[in-house]
Amino acid sequence: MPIRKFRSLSEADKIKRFRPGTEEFSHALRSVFGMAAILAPHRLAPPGVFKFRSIEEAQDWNKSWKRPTRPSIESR
Amino acid sequence: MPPPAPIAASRHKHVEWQPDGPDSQWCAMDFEKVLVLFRALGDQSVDYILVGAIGMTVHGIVRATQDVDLFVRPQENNIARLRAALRSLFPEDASIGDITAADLAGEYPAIRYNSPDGSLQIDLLARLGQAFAYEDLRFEEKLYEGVPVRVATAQTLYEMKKNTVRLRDRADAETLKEEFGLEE
Repeated sequence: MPIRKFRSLSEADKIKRFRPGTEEFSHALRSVFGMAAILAPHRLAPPGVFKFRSIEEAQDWNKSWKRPTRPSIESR
Repeated sequence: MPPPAPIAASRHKHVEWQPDGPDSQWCAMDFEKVLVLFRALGDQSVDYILVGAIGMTVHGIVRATQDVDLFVRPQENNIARLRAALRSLFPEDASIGDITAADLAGEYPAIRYNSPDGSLQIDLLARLGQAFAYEDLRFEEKLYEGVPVRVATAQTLYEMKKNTVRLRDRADAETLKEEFGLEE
């Protein structure tokens, strides 16, 4: 990804959309997923098939087994 | 009142999942596996529409997520093709057979499939309340890292997210509206 320079952080923050198919897009995708894996991994989900009457019910169930974040890197 | 307990159609023990597992039971969605999933869905000609955060990334708005959200046409032959696609990724997982058109078209329009290795969590949807069903969604076919995907249009993603309760979805809706100049 080429270096991009901004006059302020707010100017940089306005860049939210990448053009799919470009090298920059591919890099951003893999960077985001890679960083998420390091900084915010999720608990291994209970494997299998689970059925719900609504998406809200599914989201509530997720809360029952998920923890929001991994214990801090320092504490491991 | 606590939410009703989900129906665990099956829990085949490819991994020894524990409710309060050790630190080693942390994982993340495998992005390359997501691409393999889309290839398999295409190979099996599954009628699906990608929505949710991965749908947004196909449109160029990149943010992390933990699952893949797919609307699927809840017809028996289509769900059979869906099962075949999933089996091509996870051939040992017998639980895939529990994904049925009867459930999706009937009492259980939301089915969560968690792969045995933790690399994929997939929400399969046939409808969202009374507001959205498969037939209601507009989609387009786009290339995603060279793989064809059927993704909901930016306008459709916006309409799905704008009135939801979750703050994250409302933030997504705002971003879509801003980036694509969408109307209410």
